[in-house]
Amino acid sequence: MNTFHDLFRQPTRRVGSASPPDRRRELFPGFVERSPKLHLWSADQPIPAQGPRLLIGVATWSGYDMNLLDLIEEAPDNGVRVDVFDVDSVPSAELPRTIPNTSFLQTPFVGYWVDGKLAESASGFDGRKLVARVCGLDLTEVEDRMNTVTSRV
Amino acid sequence: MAQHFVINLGGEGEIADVINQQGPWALDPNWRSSRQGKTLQELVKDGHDFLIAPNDRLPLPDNSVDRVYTDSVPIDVTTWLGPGVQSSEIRRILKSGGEWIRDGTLYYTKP
Repeated sequence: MNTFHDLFRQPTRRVGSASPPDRRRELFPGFVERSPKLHLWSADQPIPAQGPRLLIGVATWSGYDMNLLDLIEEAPDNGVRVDVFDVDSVPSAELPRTIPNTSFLQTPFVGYWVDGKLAESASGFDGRKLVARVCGLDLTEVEDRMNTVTSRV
Repeated sequence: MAQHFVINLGGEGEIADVINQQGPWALDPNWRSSRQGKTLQELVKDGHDFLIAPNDRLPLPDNSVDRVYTDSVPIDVTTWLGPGVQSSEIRRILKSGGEWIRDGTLYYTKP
């Protein structure tokens, strides 16, 4: 497994007739640590006082979220620090403190800070658009990728 | 010939001609579909049918469904919204020979 899409596919990649156990949450931190661009966020980390910074809460069971991380990795570096975390690893009561001023009905949960101050936050479809804008992703390419998540093995 | 009953658990209209199930959170006015950013009302207006029911208590009889789809949804875990889709419920509602298509892959066929 190399990409976040591969990680998303892990429970449905059969070995013989048996379905493997879902190990995506366990494997996710290692995938992020091997990434040249993404940083694994933890609650004890301070918000950087300088520069642009995205914090993205993703679900490892969401092909949309995992493919979004692949698109960020594939894009040229534009100087934005990108921190990510597994939303299922954060107590739900902590989410509004982690990413203020958004709803928590659909992932990804996204906050964008500039020089230590929250500039924008959004979730779900709007969260993906925020990531695309801040990371310089082509929105059409993002939506094309989302539309083909289940058809790609 | 009996009608085939197909349901997309956690669905939001991404598969044509199926019933889409969502938890009660889809009734929240801030809820939007993940892929297209549409409200529940907009998806219904587009012609998609919805069943609003908790994931762990689907109001469907045993052995009543020919095919279940799940697409990018939590399975057998509890998330910030509550219980995710339960494989025990899928096994309960599927007819013998019924299929569970998980993230585009045939994942289970009920004996």
